[in-house]
Amino acid sequence: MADAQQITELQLQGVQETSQYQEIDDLISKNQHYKEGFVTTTAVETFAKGLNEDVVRAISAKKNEPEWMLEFRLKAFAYWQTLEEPHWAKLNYTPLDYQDYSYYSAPECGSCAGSCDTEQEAENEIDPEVAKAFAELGVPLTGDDSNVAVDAIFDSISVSTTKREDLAELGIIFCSFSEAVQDYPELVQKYIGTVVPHHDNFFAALNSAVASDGTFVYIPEGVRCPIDLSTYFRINEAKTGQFERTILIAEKGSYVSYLEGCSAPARDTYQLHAAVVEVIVHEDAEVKYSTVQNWYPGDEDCEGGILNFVTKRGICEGKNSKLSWTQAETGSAITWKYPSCILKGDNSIGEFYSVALTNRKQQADTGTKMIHIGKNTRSTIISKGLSAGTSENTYRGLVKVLPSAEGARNFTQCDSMLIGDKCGAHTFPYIEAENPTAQLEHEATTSRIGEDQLFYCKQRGISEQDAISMIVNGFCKDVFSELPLEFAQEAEELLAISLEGSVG
Amino acid sequence: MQRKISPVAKQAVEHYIAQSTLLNERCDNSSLIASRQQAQTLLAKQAFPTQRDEDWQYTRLTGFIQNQFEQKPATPLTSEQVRQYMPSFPVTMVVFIDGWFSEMLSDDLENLPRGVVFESFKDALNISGDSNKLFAKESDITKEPFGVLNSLLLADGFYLQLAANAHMDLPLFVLHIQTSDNHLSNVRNFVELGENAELAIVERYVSLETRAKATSCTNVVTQIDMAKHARCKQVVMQEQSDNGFYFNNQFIYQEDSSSYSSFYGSLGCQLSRHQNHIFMNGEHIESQQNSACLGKDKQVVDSRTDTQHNDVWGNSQQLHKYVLTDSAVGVFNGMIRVDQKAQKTDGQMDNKNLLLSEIAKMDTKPQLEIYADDVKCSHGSASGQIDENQIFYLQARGIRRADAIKMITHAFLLEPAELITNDQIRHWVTDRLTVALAGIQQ
Repeated sequence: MADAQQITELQLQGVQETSQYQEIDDLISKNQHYKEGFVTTTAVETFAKGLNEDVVRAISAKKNEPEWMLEFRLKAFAYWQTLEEPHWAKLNYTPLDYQDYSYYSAPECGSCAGSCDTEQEAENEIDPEVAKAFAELGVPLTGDDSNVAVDAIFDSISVSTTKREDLAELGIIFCSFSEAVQDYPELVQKYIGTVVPHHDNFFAALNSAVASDGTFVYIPEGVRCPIDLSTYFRINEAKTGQFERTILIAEKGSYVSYLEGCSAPARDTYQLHAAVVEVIVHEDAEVKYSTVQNWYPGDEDCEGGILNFVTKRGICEGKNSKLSWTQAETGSAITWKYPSCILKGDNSIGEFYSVALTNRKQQADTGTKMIHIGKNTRSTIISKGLSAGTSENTYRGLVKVLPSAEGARNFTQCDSMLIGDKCGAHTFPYIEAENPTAQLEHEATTSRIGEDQLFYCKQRGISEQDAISMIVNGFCKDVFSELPLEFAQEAEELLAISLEGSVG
Repeated sequence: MQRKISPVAKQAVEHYIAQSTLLNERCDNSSLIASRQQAQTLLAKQAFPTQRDEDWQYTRLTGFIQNQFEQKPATPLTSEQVRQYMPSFPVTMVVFIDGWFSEMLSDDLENLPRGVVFESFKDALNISGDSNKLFAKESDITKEPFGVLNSLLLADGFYLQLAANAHMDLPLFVLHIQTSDNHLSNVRNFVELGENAELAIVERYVSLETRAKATSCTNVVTQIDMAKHARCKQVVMQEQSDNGFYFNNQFIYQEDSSSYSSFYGSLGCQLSRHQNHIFMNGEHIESQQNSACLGKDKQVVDSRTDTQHNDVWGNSQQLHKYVLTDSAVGVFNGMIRVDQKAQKTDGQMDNKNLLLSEIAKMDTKPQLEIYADDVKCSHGSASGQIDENQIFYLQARGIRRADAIKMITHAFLLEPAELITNDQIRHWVTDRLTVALAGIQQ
């Protein structure tokens, strides 16, 4: 009873505290669509704008990194300087000025991430302002009763990782990337850059050079991770870039379900997010990787939204391994993201389920790559694209079957829905078959919400907005059913919010 | 951005520009000279595409660039030599030898039905007032690298005009014969269909039998302008020498309620690339594009379509089938673009591929780009080998395995040809495909 009272008090306190954020309310009233758009004001340490070798060295020094990590960064930085910003995607944006961003920002008391005594109670370390921000976002940093372990990342650093003691008992490593570099250097060294090498592409090279923080997950042999692991990314400072690096390793026969969420304050200048995710799945292991991407999409004209340039790739290294990507993309001014599977082990399975929604002036060029190398490898791609307002939504995918992939099988389905007549929906699939035993199927359709469907719902007393939301959710059902329960609900709600104002 | 041009490519560029300059020196038509000069500037700037270019990543041009083809004069042929390439059904025959119009071997083209005018491109240029019309779409044509080459060496082709309500009694059969090694046939055709005019045209590209191993190149650009309610049915059969190169860019401009249907059959050449660019610039337009491509040995068979729906109630249908054996590479690229204005569009594209050998390869890219919401658009693509169940079904009925495979492959490849409406032309095409299929199944 007393506990309950305490909680109510806490909640009340929370409400009072949040009401102090006058500018938040202003922003929210300005931007109804994005309730996560508040700013946290706390003492932070931010590097001056600009990017050069000294900045790369400073980031590394700040994080107390060993020599090999610095070398990795410098190698990537040297390579990045030789590259030009890619513009092949169907995205329209002015080339970015990489000198106009800050490449490191962290709340002060947590800035010693790696060197801090990790034995300390995690909660005590967190800056109260930051904790408040996460509470506002509904991310449980202290919730011992929740059935999920969370790694919370605020700008360049990880501020808290919950439940890791429980997980450690099972041998599972779940910590921030910076800690992993300190505590498990041999594991990080073994796997970093193996799936996404530093020379992979422009943004991967940039990320390798200035990688901020991220999550490191290691599931030992034969362990089935009992709870969902989750990372929440928050960009707070203006004009900073977040460059998270996440590595997930599933040893033989293990299983893990990993979730990822993100948001950022409403700003009036573009913010950069260039992440790299590497997933290694060994024999008989299974990884489920789900993302709900809700970065700030910008104002009505998508000014100031997040530019989301992400390289996500997993390799099914061993036999019978399985990697499944599920994503709900609703935020960001620009999305450039192709979660991929390299199906190397025989009988391995790759899956990609995606819902990408664009509204207003958002642009998304997203899809997947399935590279079949091993025998009897199978892949499934289900992509649902929704465009509303004056947005552009593109599916771009590659299915490649190498000569060694005897009996490979792929099924691809890309459905697009247009809401309104000023948006665009595009499909660019690349299919490359080099083995005759491979069976590849691709189908794509484009449709809209029928007048008759709307009429049917309205006639039964359902408002137009709700009707659209219902129809859209039905359209996306194949994908949402793949998301973990709470996430699916969140995604559905997000979809409804993002769609607001798109009709009528 | 300055392109890096390899020394070999640079040589090839200089070679073709020199030929073009030579042509210009001997020419007195100002629009033709201007168009060639413009192409020279373009080619010098952009050279030939490489694998780094999105549209050419599956089609390597190294073989083409290494051979520096020359535009030579035509070899004289007798009507005996030409007869074997003619179909058995009655047609109006037009013959091109090495890309040059042969008046002698062609049928009498003076007494065509009323409203039908046929000229060689050379003659058409000299008719005053007409030559600007011939170059009106130059900016579209030069977007294609081989359109640039075509303009660069533009010298001959045909000009066909059908006045309103005109039609030809017999199908027009255009035979292109390659006779010599290392030769470049450069052909530019212009077809203009008046309101409600109707045309059936069959184009056949062959190499002279005694020159079955010749390495020569054919580069064609055809422009078809269709007025309201005009109808055009086209069949293109490409059966040149297995060492040859073939490039064809067709630009079709359609107005309200016109209907265009085409079939492309690809059998020969080490590298062939057939491209349709359709601009559906009016209401209620129909278009149909089908192709049957057979690849063997080291052939690279490329077929592309670009269908632009620019107005309401357009309907486009496509079926493209590939059969690939040995180490052949098939490339398909189809784009359906629906403009914001083009509501009620129905666009369907289907691509099916049969891989018969371990090392054959298929690269396909069916694309949709849609800006209108009330449309029905879909594309499908499937690649694989023959279903064992189908073979078993036939074997269970006493058909030998080898025959069963033949039957299934045959039925598979001939499906697009079944859509040709003229019985005689259809039979002729299916015969050609059947003979070619029998050749690979020995």
